Amino acid sequence: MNDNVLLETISLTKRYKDVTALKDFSVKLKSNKIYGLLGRNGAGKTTLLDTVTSRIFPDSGNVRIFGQDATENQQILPLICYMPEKNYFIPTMRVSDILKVSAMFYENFDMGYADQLCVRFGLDKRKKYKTLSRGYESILRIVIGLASRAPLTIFDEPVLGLDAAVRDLFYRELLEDYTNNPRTYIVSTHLIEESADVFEDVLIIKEGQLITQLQVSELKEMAFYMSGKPSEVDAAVSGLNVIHSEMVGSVKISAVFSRFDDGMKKNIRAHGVDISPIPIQKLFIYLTNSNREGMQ
Amino acid sequence: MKLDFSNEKPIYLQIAESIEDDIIRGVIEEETQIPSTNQMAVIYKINPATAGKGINLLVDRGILYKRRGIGMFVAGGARKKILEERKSSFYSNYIVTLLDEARNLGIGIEELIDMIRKGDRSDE
Repeated sequence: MNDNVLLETISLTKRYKDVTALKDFSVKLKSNKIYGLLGRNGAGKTTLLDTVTSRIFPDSGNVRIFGQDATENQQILPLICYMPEKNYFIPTMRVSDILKVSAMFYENFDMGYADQLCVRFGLDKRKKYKTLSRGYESILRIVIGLASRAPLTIFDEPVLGLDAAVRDLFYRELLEDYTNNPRTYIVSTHLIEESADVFEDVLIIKEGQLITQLQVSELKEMAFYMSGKPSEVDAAVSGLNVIHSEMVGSVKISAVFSRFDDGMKKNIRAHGVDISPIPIQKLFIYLTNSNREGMQ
Repeated sequence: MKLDFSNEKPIYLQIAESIEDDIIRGVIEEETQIPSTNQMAVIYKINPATAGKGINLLVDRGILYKRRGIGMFVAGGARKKILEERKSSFYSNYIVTLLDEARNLGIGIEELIDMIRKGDRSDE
């Protein structure tokens, strides 16, 4: 087993009728890091998370957690708190009872912290689950996930239906608790721009395959727009990984995703080509585009 | 400390530079403690590893040092050191860009020097 590898998937494949949701998917995640899991709708994020947590089983391949085969492993599963997009809480149960049941599942569950979180997020513990709005359902999942203090905590789309202020509170609570009680998080999301700097590494999934696993800072240092005269832009990007191109009037804009050094940039700028960073949400769209519109 | 998330500069570099700025302006004095990476992470909503990367840059350059069990402190002589380093990079960071843009616009050296004099006076 590798020194601090917490989770490893080896060639996971999962098919649903004619759709291959995971294709030979291999990844290694280390302990005590916050991972962002990014992918478009239907890319295979939820299938991956469901497989890792033994909710569903792969057609082939396996999952190892803490160096052990994790499939239905009674020693491993209690160390994982998975808050999926859909929960099957009993609709007539009160929030306070759902928290009590959760405390029975996760041995590190901190009820005092759960109570504090309910206050901070404005979640009324006396309410029945079925009366919660979409936003408060998300908040309940956040409260359980954070308070579980599970060594592997997984959130699938945790900020769904939450307004900007509550999303902000979630990221801060996550970071604050993470700094005091380090553990491994996997957070899947569509809202990349606001969450990217919270993550240490991001995993980008496309069509059931891992296309990128990088530190967020590396990701940002590799993504640039080059714009200027078409001939100069084409010369500047030759040999680089061009992920998008378009013409705006007579100006050509090419998006590149490659490793750069300052010397290269200086040289490109000296040829009258402008270099500017690509917003991370845009980068994500370019990387996951299947038809690569505008590519030449 | 101020971070600009739309800036091309990586966040960890911005952290290092903004701490330097605060030291130069005397907001953080020498031999005083700076916020921990954990505090920075929560305040700026960034991963603690990113904050740590920025702080380590300054530790490597002798601007910050660690007091075991307490935290990070600004080293004695840090301000002087930063000023010297900034002055030596002033030419490549500012003068070269200034001359490039002046050339693009067809501004001659004499005209440029006049502008600088004017700017200097209007600051007083």
